[in-house]
Amino acid sequence: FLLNLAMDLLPPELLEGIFTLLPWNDQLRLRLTCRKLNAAITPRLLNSERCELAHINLKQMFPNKLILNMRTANAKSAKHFAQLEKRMERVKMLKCDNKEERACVVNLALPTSESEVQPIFEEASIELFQICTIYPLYLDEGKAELLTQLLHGCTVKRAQIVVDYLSVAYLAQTPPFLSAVHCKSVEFVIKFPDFYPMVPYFSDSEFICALVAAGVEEVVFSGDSKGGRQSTKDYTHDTIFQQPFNLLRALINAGITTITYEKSSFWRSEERATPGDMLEFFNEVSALDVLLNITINAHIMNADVLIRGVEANGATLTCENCDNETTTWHKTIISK
Amino acid sequence: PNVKLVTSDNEEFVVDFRIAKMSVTVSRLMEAMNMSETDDASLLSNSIPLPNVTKAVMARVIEWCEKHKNDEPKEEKENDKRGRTTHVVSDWDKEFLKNDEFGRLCQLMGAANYLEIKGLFNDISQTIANMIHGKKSDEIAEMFNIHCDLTEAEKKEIRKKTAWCED
Repeated sequence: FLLNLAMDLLPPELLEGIFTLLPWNDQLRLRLTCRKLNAAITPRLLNSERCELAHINLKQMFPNKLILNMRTANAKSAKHFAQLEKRMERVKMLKCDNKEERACVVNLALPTSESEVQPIFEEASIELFQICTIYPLYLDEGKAELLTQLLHGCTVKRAQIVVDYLSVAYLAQTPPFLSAVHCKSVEFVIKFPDFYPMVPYFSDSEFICALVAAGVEEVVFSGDSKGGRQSTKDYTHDTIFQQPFNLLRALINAGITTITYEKSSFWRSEERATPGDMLEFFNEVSALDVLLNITINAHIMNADVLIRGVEANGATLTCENCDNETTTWHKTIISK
Repeated sequence: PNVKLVTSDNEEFVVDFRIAKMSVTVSRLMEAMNMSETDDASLLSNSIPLPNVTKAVMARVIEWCEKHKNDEPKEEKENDKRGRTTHVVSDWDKEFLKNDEFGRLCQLMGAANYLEIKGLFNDISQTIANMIHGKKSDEIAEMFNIHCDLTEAEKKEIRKKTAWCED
């Protein structure tokens, strides 16, 4: 009876054997041949995989509007973009160079009350959730809670959060958001203009304990210099160099062992550290009986003095582009 | 030792015990009938009825099994670099299946499914998947005798559901 059979009349177990071996795009085209095959294939396409996104970039270009730029390296995950159309104001697909990549831009009215907030996805795995540094959504009053609700059901591997001198007062609202999305790695991008007074907020023991309790294992501090990074006040050398090291000490003592400190975060480009500024810190952390992975990018004067001092304490200090000039770019990794 | 297999059209095939064991279904039936490799009497006195397989199809199945009887057990399905499931069809298998029209492939596939011969089932599934690959929906419909009962509006709606995934 099978000899003149049409494919749509095949028993389900035979169809399933074929569908399993069909590439994604062939399954899409096969749906369009008849109702029966469409009914058999569509649930496979829509329910087969959870949403895996490489990247979400969140912008606030206008006061009442959020723009989410999303990208996935797996075309199958893009099926979840289709469901966004029901809930989001405007969804537009973007062209991608890579055939397997899919991207879209979503416009979303900034919710004005908690009841309006709907999660973007039912569930999704997001490699990088990034707040745009040019048009950032600052996490001031209630915004971290808003993100928590938008990303309800999602896991975020790495989050990038932009902080300025106003939103830093709401820093304590960040750890609950990181906890909700199971984020273990967070980058704080420090915005101009006056960033030195922001350091104590990050050094606050309650904030750091909350970060650890949220499950954060890696912290990165970086800076965004677009638009200029001018401090409006003069600060002492001690303020400039000791406060950041106190911050690193507090993080290490709380149990965060992977830290990256970019020179652009709490230092201006013209700042020069002396070996004395760093030696005490390096010797302290070298004495700790924990494995640390700390990267500090800084301009250091007389770097060779610092290297000799650290090595005398048995720690490993790697430097890049060290030229023994008064200004030296350093990358330092301490491991013990 | 040999095993007797009887098809739906009452044709008897006498096959090597190893070949009979390549079918999970036949293997189970032999167990149920206490037929063992070391007990010639049990093999001679019993035959395995296979009511879902015809003589012509059984001959093809046995030809495939003869070729593969010495194959090492292997993971039949592999994932390619894009995470897609693929099955590698050997040159001999391609040659074996190349002249079969879709209807005959389906008969053989139905038999492989009933007899639970995974390698043959996957060879045929992959062959059909390769026939579909890269073709437009109307070309697929023509090739596989599918009568399209979808309206243009329905097609549009189907495309819309997964528009983000399309090329």
